Amino acid sequence: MTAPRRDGCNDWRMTRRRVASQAGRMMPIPADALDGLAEFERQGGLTRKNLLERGAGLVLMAGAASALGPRAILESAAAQQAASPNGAILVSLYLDGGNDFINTFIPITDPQYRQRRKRIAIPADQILPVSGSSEFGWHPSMSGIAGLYDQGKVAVLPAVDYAQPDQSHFNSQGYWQRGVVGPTLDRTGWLGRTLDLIGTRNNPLQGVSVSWGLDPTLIARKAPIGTVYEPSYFGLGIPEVWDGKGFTKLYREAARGSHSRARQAVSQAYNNAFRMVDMLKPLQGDPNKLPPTPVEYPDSYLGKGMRNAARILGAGLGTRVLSLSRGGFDTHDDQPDEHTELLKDVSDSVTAFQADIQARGLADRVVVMIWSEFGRRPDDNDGNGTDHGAGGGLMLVGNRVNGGIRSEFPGLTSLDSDDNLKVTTEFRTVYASLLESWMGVEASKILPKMDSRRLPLIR
Amino acid sequence: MPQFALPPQPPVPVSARPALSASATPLATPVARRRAVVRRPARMLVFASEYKLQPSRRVVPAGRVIIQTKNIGEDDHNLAVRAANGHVLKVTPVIRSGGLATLRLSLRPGRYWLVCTIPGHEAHGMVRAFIVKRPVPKVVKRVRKGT
Amino acid sequence: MPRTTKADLEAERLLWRAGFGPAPGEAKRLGRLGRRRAVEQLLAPKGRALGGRPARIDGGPLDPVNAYGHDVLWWLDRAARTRHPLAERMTLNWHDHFATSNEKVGDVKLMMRQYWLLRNYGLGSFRALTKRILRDGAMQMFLDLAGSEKGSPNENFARELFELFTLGVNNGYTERDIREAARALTGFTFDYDTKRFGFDPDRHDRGVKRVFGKRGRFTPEDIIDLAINHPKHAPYLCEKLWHYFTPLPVPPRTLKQMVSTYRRSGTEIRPVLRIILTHPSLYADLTSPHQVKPPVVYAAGMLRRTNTRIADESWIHLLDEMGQRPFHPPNVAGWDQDDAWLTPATISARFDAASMLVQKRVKDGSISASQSPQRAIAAARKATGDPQISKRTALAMQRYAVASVKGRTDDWEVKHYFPERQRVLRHVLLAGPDAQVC
Repeated sequence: MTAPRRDGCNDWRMTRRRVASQAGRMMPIPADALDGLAEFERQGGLTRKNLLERGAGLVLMAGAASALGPRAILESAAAQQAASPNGAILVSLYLDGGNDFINTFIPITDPQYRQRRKRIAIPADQILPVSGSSEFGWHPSMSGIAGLYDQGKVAVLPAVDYAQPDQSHFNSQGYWQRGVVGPTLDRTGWLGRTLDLIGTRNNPLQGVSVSWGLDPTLIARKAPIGTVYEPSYFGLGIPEVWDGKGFTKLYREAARGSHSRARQAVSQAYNNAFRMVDMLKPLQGDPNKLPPTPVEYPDSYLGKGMRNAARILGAGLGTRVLSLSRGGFDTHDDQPDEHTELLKDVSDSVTAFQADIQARGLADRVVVMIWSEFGRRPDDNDGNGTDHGAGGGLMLVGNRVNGGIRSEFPGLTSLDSDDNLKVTTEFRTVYASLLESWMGVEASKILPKMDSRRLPLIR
Repeated sequence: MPQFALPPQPPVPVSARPALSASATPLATPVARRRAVVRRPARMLVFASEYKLQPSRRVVPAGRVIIQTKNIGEDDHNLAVRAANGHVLKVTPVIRSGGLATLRLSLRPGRYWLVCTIPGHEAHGMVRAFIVKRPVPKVVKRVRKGT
Repeated sequence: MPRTTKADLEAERLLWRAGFGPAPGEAKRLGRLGRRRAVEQLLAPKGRALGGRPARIDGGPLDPVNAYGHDVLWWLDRAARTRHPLAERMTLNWHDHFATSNEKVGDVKLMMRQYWLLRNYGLGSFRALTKRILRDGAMQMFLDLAGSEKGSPNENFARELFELFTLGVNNGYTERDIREAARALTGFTFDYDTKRFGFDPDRHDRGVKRVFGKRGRFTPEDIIDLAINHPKHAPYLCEKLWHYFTPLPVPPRTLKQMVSTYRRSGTEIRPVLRIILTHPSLYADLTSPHQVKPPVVYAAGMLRRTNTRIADESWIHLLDEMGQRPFHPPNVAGWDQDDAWLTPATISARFDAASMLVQKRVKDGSISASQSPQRAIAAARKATGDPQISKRTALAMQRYAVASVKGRTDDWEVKHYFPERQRVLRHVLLAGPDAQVC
């Protein structure tokens, strides 16, 4: 019987929290990077002049009297770049369903590993080595990320979660997305609040949810956030209306002028929507005819999403935060095959992305944070799967990441009262460390009641 | 933000926008515009969660039925229609949390079961019976071919 | 075009804030009554609740219980066709206040039963309304009241009762009050197989509880009374009601007046609404509106203005993308109002909603080249219920009406672009910036 256990929310108990280390704050020292526009040229075989011309064509389409010409569009993006020169970029990649971190980053020398996972332990001869560590090994699907780890570009953080972990997807997801543990009526996400703080009111692509619906992590109070999965075709249109320039100009004129606060907010929303269409125009075209990338992306929802994320970054639109997700990690049964496929998709997508942004000269500005709402139970179940656990894990990927194992693994012998991994590091500590040492913002302004623990995650 | 394939012009109508739900199939069930009365398919909506199925009705008239299943739980589920003899007539693909799936079948009078066939789920309670009854004579389908 | 008077503008404002916008001619009719009588008419509606033609999908009526998404259409349809605008709008307001989502309940019948509860009792006594909500199946499932029993009470309902329904966050209660109230709220039962809700005295904690400093063997209904008799309740509720109708701050004197009226009347809702709806604040800045229309109001409003019946399931997705699906509030706190409605994604869904009402209405070849820009604008205004627009929009429309057909003299151009002009003019009247506020 696979008795998939539901929410242990009534019988959880306080787990002991041990913090791996307390590091001083580090501010980012961004390396020289080409600005996005220059990269765009290389990527699409377009010259800057070309882009301006394409932009100019677009403005003719949008109407000569339009509030925002191509120059203004480029300048608005440029202004944002200027406001945060070579601004650090954070990409959130959410593994939806609760990734089994124990089989992702495997504690090979822990005698309990094979004991507890009689059915789904990864055969020793297939496990990929972790350079510099005899205690851990990578899932065989993770060759791409393992390679990046060897280059010092991956930080691995096992046993990250929150105290008294609640094994409900909904609750845990919500806590991680909002950056607040426990119930709250505030719907904003921690990355949305970050953009409220560092962003502007008029760049709808400073934060991009690379998905079909807005990622709750990016819900902001004020900052406009774009939702774009496929930038190749993106527009506002009216059926049976051919002259896009005409109605766009009409709408934009109607949105001008000063009015009540509510009416002003509407104008702003419209301007941002039209602005977004304009900003993404250089990326329009046939998504099947994109230039090749240094490493091929998987032909999957995530692979395409990561590729689109790189394209958006390459276009230099002032994007600071992107988010993506990959579903299917709730592996209650038949885990071995499914998990192999899932991790391969993640590892290959991230590896291709890393090579892509490297070629675009952006790699020093981007950190990818791979997370999940919880880990899975150390003991496997008789459906060849694993049930909801605690103490999942995080991975950070990027040139500036302080590679290595950056949180304490508590071992599989002594578990918490729910037979789960003990949580050694709170996820908010990871967030706070990234906010301060990578995004350059004070964590306490974004994460309520944040303590002073930080981890050395960025070099 | 709508994202649809924009040919140079004119734009694709709104109705072509991608459906939101995971496997939202178009619901259009064209009604034959013949003089004859054609009964529209009966509908049933099932909410799946851990570990229960909540069908919107217990009795369905015989003939065409559209069964939609919405996963309002946290885990994956699916929905199968099983005849009294244990034979599974149709089953949806796995429905992820928040997803929707549609089954179209034609059922004869009798007793049937709705089940989630993901291992362990039926035993945990994800099974419900429903009855298919002969429809009242008035709405019996009488479509004449041709003419 | 007949000139609009101040009375018309006031009536239009009233119908948007206290309803779902005017149907063609409705503002004029109501405007003739004057502010007070107009409000009285809304407070005590008579006659048939619905007008117009009911929604029709794929050649049949809505099937909200058995067809996915039809619950949303059903609500929108009632809002669009209502002849009792305030009663219907208050139903939506109460749905926000007592927010319950079918994402957890999973039973449209129960959700619709709650709708009727809010609809039938939404203008009466708040005490009675809350006691009915306490016994409402959808609510009992949503906040885990059903099944909460002696020994392990579920605190969900108790917490929200204080925090959202009656007192406000951290406003005059303690965690201990919540825990004790939860004990008093035990005993409700539900049987999935028979779909029967009940109360089992054996599962009810009959012990002495201490809530707000008072001790007693409180029953569930006692807890409602304690919360409603709490001194902080009346100001909280009155101010919350005020903000359903205007984002402007409530003047302290008005709040006092509402509170004393509410208490004197024995928690009657109608007299409080009367104060709000006749207040000058509601009619301030008639040509520069303060409120962003909630998506349901906006969508129902456009259906009313254009006299359109719902005939397309796209409205389900549009409302979802605009951020307000009735029966599916985002959480127990309901929807975030005002500016929070507006994001690049929601505004483009609002834009697309107008397309639903513009497409396939004006055929190519149906308008001759002799139609003047003025006539084109007049026709578009007529087709969209002659909405109020700002000078800026009026000017932009005039420019567009001239420029859009300039030089389009070939037969094929006339055939297409004159109707296109009409489509666009209607579109901006339905979805332009002015149409988003009221």
